[in-house]
This record gives sequence, structure tokens and C-alpha cells, in this order.
Amino acid sequence: MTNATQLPAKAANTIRIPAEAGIAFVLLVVLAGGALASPNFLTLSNIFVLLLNGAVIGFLCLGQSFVLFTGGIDLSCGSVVAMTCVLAAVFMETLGLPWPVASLLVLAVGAMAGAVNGLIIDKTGVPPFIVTFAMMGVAASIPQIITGAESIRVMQFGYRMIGQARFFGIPFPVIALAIAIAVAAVFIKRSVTGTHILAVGGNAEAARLAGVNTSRITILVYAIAGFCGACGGLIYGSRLMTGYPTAGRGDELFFSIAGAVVGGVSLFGGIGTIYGAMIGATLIATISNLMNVLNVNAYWQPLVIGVIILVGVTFDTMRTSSRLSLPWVRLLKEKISGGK
Amino acid sequence: MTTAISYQAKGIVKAFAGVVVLHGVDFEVRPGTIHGLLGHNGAGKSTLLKILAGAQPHDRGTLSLGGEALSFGSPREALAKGIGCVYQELRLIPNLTVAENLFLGREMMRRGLRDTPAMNDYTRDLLASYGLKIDVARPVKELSHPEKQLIEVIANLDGKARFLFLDEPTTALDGRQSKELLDSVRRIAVERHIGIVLVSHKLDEVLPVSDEVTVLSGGKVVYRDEGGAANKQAIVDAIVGDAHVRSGPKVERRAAEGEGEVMVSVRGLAGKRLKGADLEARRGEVLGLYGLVGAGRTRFLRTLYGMEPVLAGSIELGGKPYKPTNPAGAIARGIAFLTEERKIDGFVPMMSAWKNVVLSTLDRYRSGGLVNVAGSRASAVATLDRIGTLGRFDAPARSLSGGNQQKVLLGRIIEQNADVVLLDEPTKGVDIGAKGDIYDIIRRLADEGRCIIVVSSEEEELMEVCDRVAIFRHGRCDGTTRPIGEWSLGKLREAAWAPA
Repeated sequence: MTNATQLPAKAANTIRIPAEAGIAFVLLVVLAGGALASPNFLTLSNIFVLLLNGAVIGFLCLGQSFVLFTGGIDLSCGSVVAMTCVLAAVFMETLGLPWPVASLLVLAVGAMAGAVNGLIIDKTGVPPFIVTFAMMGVAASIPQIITGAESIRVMQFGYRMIGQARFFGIPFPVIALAIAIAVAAVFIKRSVTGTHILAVGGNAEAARLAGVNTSRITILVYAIAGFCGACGGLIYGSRLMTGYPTAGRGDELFFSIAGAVVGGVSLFGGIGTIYGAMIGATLIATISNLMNVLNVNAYWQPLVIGVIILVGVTFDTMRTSSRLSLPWVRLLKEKISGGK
Repeated sequence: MTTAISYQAKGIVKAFAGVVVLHGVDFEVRPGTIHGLLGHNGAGKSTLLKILAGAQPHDRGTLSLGGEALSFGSPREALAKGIGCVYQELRLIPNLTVAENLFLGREMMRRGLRDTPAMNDYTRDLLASYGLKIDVARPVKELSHPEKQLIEVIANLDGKARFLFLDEPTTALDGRQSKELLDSVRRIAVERHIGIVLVSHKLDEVLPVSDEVTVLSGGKVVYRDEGGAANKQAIVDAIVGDAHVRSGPKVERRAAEGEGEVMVSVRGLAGKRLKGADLEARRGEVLGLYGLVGAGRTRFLRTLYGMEPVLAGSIELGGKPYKPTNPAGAIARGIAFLTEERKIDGFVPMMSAWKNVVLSTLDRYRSGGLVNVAGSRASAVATLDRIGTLGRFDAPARSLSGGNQQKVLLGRIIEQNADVVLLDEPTKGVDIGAKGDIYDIIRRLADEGRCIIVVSSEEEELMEVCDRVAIFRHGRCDGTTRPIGEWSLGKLREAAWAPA
């Protein structure tokens, strides 16, 4: 009705603290704490190590975020890493394909595995937890069956490029992840499909009635998750120059979900941002790295990360459900919007 | 009759959020009789039923059993006093057996284990005493609907219920099944000396078995008499009630009768609970669909929009055949739909208001693969402004008031620029001020030459916005539409209550 006054009034009335601010602040605190605790932590070389080690988690977390946006979950991403890592080696060494062809093929295989997840979930209505849980087993077994649980050495020198090349000192996986994040963020924010993904997660039935092709969205997000898993598989394989049948089957799945959730992506769908998820993944990778730098006993590391996730998510859940009021936030908002 | 202990309610008052739903209702059930409780949509029947069954507290008034004052905190407490209720949605657990359902929560035990044979024997004898022969070891889901209903009735009676409320017990049944069920209920009432209250929309079924009839209208008792078919006209008059209040459309209605070309033509459309609907709707006019709750109006709209399967019949859109498959297909054919339950399948709650507006039409704002955010936002905001939406359009849609949420969904329909607009209860849960705005929007859409079909349970609403009205009864519509000038509030209700 009052179009002319609406926009400026809106800007003046409210401050918008991005939802990611909280987790970004925690990340800064951890970085500062780490710098104080060890002089070796906040060095350029350690930062690159941190990011390089975090790249696989970053990719998995990226793919996981797409699935979480629709309210689903992908438990198979870690196993897809293992499967694609070994398949890449098989394609190169057994079939003799040149490494770029093998790499592209492997990316397609990852996306296919994800698409199968999505297809089954969409067509049968079996819950994502079950379908991807089954795929986790299937994808984990395939490399073991193929290799008899042996590793396969990769002899094609060019394959190193993916995991070990550096541009201006920055490892290639980190650059690739950065590009992927940028593309994903634009895709979610600016593309029709991106809006539809969030709509399906926010209210699938309403989205369907609004004419959104929910089947296509479901298949797409799982395919993206599978593709991201294959990226992880290539990075592992190329860093080790090996097809390693248990690559990515450690804490990766756990961290991919944790990173997204800590970064504000809702497990119920429809809420969250790519950046938030990536800050969350960085936080997890940072804490993990920091504990290595500080020589924390390996047995303790998952415990520490588990506690951090629990505290972070609990805090966030209570904040969004207003069960926890933060008096200073309210005061600040009142102060700023007071002159309305 | 007078010697027996009866269950009485006196001066029951109940308000929801300041709106008074029951204005001091008196009600009495006597053992061994059936009491029919009738009334129009929203007359307060369900609320009264819930209060009497202890499922809802009342604000004022008293409940008493044979002179002893009662107050219930829960249906369980009411059942302990011998007052039970069978709701439309049955409480039986489908995968458990008849006997297990009957003993749920009070299983017979023998040496610490469940004593299934004893429970089965008891249940078999119990059902036999009601003249029912059902294998008690069968899962409930394998039984027919009337059987389930009777089992729930018997379960209540076995819980020592002396008074029993049945909410719309025959909704899901066909004529013969209804009669069987009601006859059984009648027999139980007389033989066991149970007081039964029947809430129903189907006059012809209720009247023959009722000893007594009470009609509610606008939260007040407007009629009370003995049952029997003799009083039918008086009862219909009482239900129709304040028909004289307004007997014609308030505004001068356009004389467009029969002028616009036929846009939607439906022949014998049948679906799950839609038994056969014929209908024609024209361009440039608002066609209202009236009927009782459950008469098939919503299902008709949802079937047209491709949300429920078509089992029979044919549809033509603008002269070309149309077969509904899914909402996306309906949108492609120029159909827009406003759902009755906007929170369930209307808007995406956490998405901003303006994005909800353009959700169906995002493709239009695409250039080079990306959405022109500024352009789509500007268009959505302009639409929202034009229809008088208030609130922050960048905020999540759920933060808006009910009326403004509804305008967001209407904004989406306007954005779609559809030829056929289906509106299901367009002002449900909307404040008075926004209602007027929404009526204006609907009229404007029609004046632009679109074909509008509105389902509403508010007679005043139909009188206000419609050019013509058709009636749905028991899943059917015969295709007769009459111009709004020939309808009145009373005539609408009468037509809706007429036997199928």
C-alpha cells in the first residue's frame, strides 16, 4: 500500500544480524585461542595444511548441505569417497584410461550413485535415512570387492595434479573447493532451482502445489551430494596416488553433517546457507587441526568435537525456538529500532 | 424415564480467543434413549460434544450426573464416570487384534505375561452378547468400517460407559451400512439402557432413530423436541435458522448471466470421495460452491488441480479436453489454486513473503540461468502493495498475520495470471478488514475475464462475491447453478440439507 515508505522504513527499523555471525565468531575465537596456545598454529603453512586436510570435509559438507536443505540426509557420502577413490585407480591402472578421462568418469559415477539414492527416495517414499544407509553399505563394499581390500597404486604422474598442485602456493583442492562454494552459493541464492530446493525443504506439499517439480529436486540434490563425494574421492586418491578402499570412511560422514548443522543448516530442511555450512566445516577442520598441533591424544579428538557439536547445536536450537533469551541481543535491537 | 439418572449440562458457555461459540447451552441425555444433536457448520456441535466428553474445558455452566456436579480434566476422567465418546477418526490401532484393542492399557495378565486366550474368550463373549460375530484374533485393519465403529462403541460400553457420544458416525458409510450401524446402536441403547447422543449432518438417517432432537444454531439451542420424521420440516427450519436476516445479495449483482464463454466444463467427475459432479463455469464470473462439510467441494477443487486421482468423468478447459495429473500440469494449463489450509500446503513458512509470491513463476524472471532477483522482487512487491498487503515482505512469510499470509498466496495467483482460479475457503482465519480486501481481489480477478470458482462455508461470503452458486451434496453436484439473486442464506442451507 505504502510502497514509497516501505523500503526505507524497513531498513531503518531492524538490524539484520546474519545467522552465520554466531558461528563465525566462534571460529574467530578458536583461531585466536589456537594462536595463543601454539606459535605453530596460525602460520601460513599450517593454514594451508588445515585447508588441504579440510577440503574433503568441505566438499562432503557442501553436498550434504544441498540434501539437508530439502530436509533429507545423505549417509552414503563417505562410502562414495571410498568407492570413487578406488574406481579412479581401477580406471587408470586396470583399464588404462588417461587420468583426466578417469577423473571425469569417476565424477559421473559419484553423481549417478547419488541420483540412485534420490530416485529411490522419490519413487518409493522410503525415508532418506534408510535409503542412504543402504547405499552406504553398497558403496563401501564395491571397492573392497574389486580390490580384495588391497590398495591400488596409481602410476600416472598427471593424477598428482588434482591433489598436490599448487597455484600461488595455494593447494588446488582448496581452490577447487572455493570455486565450488561460490558456484553453489550463487546457485542456491540466484537460480530458480536453488529457490525450489529451499521451498521443498520448507514445505514440500506447498512447493508441489505451487508447481515445483519435487521429484527433480530430490534426485538433483542427492546427485550433487554424490558428485561432491566423488570430488572427495579424487582428492584423497590423488594425494596418496593410491586407490584406497577405506578412504573417507572415518569421521568424514560425521563431520559433513556436523559442519552443516553447526553452521546453521536445519536438519528439518528449508533453513541455512552455503556460507554458514562452510564456516561450520572450517570450524570442525580447524579444531581437528588445532588438536593435532597441540598434540592432543587422538583418542580424545572425536570426544572434543562431539561435545562442541552438541553445545553448538543445542545453543542454536534453543535460540531459534526462543527457549533461551539473550537479553543483550534484545536490548541492542530495541536501542537501534527505538527511534522508529 | 424420569426415574433414571440422566447426564445434564446447564448454561454451558465457551469462547475461543474472545469469540463466543456456545452461549449458555442446556442439554440432557437420558439412559435408554437416543438424542440427535443437529446444527449447521460451525453451530457449536463439536465444541459441545467435546465439553460433554471431557475433552475440552468450558468457561461457565455446570455438568451433572443424576444431580452430582462433575468436572473433568480429561476424557479418561469422563470415562471413569461412565461418559464415553466415539470420534470421527477412530481410536483403534489397526495392526492390533480386536481383543488387543479392547484391552489396550488394561491387559489381562497371568504369571507376569499377557493372557491372550483369556482376553480373546472375554472379547468373543462380549461381542456375541451384542450379536456381533467377528474373529477377535483378527487385526482391526481387516474389518469393515461399520464393524470398527461398533467395536469402538462396544469398547466404550465395556469400559462401563453409560452415556455415549457418537460424532458423525455414518460419514464414511453408504446408505445400507449406515442403517445397519444405527439400528445396532438403537438396539444397544434400548437393551442396555445407555444414553446415546448422535451428532450428524444426515437428517434422514438420524431422525428415525432419535427419541429426542436438539438443534444448535450460532451456539444457542434453537429447537428441542421429540424425534421422528414428522417434525422434519420444523427441524430444517430451525437449522436454517436466521434465514430472514438477509435474503438477497447486498450489492447489485452484474447481469452477466450466461454471457461469458464456458471456460470449465465438467461431466460426471468422480474420485475417491467424489461420486459424480457436473459443472460449468464461465469467464468473467465467480461461481460459488456451497454444501456441508464433507460434501465434496474441496475434493472437487483438488481433483481439478491434479492433487487427487480422477476415477471417472471428463473435463474441458476452454473447449479442449483436460486430464488432471499433477499441480505442475494444472498450472501449465492456466489453473491456479488457493488451498484451504495455507499453513499445511499453502506457503513456505521460512521463505520470504515476496519469494512465496513468485515461487510458481520464477522461470519468467530467468536470464542466463540466474533469477533476476531485483526484478522478481519488484514485481512481487508491486503485486503485494496493489492488493494492500501489510508487513515486511523480506521477512519469512510466517511472520505475517493470517490475512496478509492469505494475500501473499493470492498475490501468487495474480502473478500466475491464470485463466481459471480455484479458491478454497479464501477467508478462513482472516480478520474482518482483510476479508473485504480479499473480496475485492476476487471480484477484480473476475472482472479481468477470468473464471473463478470459490468454495466457502460462509453463506454471507458467497452472497458477497459470487455471481452464481451450485450446491454439493454427499459427494455429488448435479450441475444446476442459479444466479445469486435467486439465493438467500436460508435457501442455501435448505438446499445443502436436502436429501441426496
